[in-house]
Amino acid sequence: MAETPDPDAGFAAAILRRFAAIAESHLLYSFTRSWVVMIAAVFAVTIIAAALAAQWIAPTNPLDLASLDLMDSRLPPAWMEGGDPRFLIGTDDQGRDLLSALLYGAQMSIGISLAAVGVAILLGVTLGLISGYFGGLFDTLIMRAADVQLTFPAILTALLVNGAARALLGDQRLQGGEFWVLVVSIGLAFWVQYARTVRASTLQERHRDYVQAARLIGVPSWKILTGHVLPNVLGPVTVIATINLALAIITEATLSFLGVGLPPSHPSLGTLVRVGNDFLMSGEWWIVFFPGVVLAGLALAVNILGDWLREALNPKLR
Amino acid sequence: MSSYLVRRLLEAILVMVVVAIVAFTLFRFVGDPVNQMVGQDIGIAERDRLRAELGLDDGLLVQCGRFIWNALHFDFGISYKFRAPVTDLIAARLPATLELSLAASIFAIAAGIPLGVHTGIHRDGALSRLIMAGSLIGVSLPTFLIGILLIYLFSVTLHWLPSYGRGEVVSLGFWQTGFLTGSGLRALILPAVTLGLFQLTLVMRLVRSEMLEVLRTDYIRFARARGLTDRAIHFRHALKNTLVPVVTIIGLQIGSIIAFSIITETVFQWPGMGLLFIQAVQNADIPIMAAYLLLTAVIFVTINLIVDLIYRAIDPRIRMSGRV
Repeated sequence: MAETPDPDAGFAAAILRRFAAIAESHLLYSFTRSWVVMIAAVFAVTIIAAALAAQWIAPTNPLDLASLDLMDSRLPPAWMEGGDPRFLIGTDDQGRDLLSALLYGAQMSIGISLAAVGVAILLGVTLGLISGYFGGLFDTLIMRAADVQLTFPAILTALLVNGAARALLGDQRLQGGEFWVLVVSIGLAFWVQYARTVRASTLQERHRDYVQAARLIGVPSWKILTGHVLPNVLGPVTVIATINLALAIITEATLSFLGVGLPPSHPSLGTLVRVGNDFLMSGEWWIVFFPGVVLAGLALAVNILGDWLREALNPKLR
Repeated sequence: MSSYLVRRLLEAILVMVVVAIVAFTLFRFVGDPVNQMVGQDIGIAERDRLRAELGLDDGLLVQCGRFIWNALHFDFGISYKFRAPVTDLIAARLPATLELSLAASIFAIAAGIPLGVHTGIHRDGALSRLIMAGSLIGVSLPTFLIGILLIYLFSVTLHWLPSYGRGEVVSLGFWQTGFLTGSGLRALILPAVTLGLFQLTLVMRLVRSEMLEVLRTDYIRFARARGLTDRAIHFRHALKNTLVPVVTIIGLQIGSIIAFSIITETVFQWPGMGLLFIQAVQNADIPIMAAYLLLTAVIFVTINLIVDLIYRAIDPRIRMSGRV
């Protein structure tokens, strides 16, 4: 047993190796060849970096209700008539600086989406590994469940989970828990793809010599799965995760827009668009415009990156 | 064929039973039905009486069976919020959603196929590149943003089209239609375009890739050698052979059109099933959610089944492989 590599070390090494392979491969080359992909990458990195740094670079703190002044509400962007130089892209109906709300909102949206993709990966990869490695009844149950869920669009699953959580927790207990309700409802909507992909790769890896050898010397199943099979089935997962991130951002925004996501006092890209939509009729376009552009641009950029990653990593398409 | 049909039917029924059990679990365990139905000032004795009346004291299997039995008779209980039978609420809103979905599908097909044919034939043309770039943006834009954009453009700025509601409707028996009045048709345009845009890009991309594939085949080359006109080759020979997968995708997409109508209906305040469902989620109105879940499941499973069967009928290769 002493020879058995520590699963964590094996995992970390596999990730390091993957990064080394990326640096050497034509991935970097193909990246520098397409200006669309480069623009998308620059845009996505800028938005994500700005969102993560919201606490430091935002002019005001939109969560600090005491600093809001209703007299400042619905001011147009600074360069327009009636604009205030304190608020570069205007204010919303509560007198919040829209730029600050946007930065905090993007942070919230990206945080929820990343966590949701994490939940989906954790659930999907675990179930896929179990399904592919052990087969039998596990496999049948998990894959039938996946089939049933696949007949429903993700947004419907997310809405149903969200509604059930709302009814279970009640409105009072939901206070502050909206973040996790969103994470879980989006995560549960996206696990199927990971489970199917990982299951297919696991079915192949299971019969490889190194797995058979590990079994022969008596390595326990969970160690084989985490230390040997897992690092070898993670390749496609990274591609799916990138594309899913765009979907998760859109889903979070949609749920918040539909009014089942975050409360209006907590800005996310979706809630900002929802609030802005109410004032569109009276011509106050900036409240919905800027969050909308950031949301659409972010989703588009991540989509382009995902597409590029899929093509660059797929040897058949070269 | 008949053994295949029986197997597919059994699978479909199994899926429906699973969904029904999920719906029942939602219905029974998420929130206390009695608490939802009575006010705070109702005594315990009264609550117990109601509990017995609703059959909540019976065994779980009995309750689940009764739930499914009632659902089969279109009885989904009483909405917590509206205090009215869920079936009536849904029936009143079903026509609005179906008309919107139909209009969206027609828009997606009528615009998607020509665009796909064009981009497939003129692969490297400037217009094709523009259309393809536009379609990527269309896929990435969330539905509700497209709706808001259209409202701002055509309702707020240009004042051409209404931004919410169905306009005037005409009652044909229980079916209220917006197809027969001018204002109803005008109100339909923006929601239908919003809902259909995603399917349009899907149809277009599919037709394009199928066209590219078909145009490379030998029989197209032979048709060219025979000296047929481009028009005859593209439309009579090529397009016809791309339509099998297109029909499948359109069939499968009807289900997601109905699901995505939730978003479109919210943006345009379209009084359909989707708006009812979203209100139910906001209010934790479980009977409506359970009914909506069952109803969409029936629609999805039925469409899947029909598409599978049509596919086998159209494409003999699938029939053959099934027999081996």
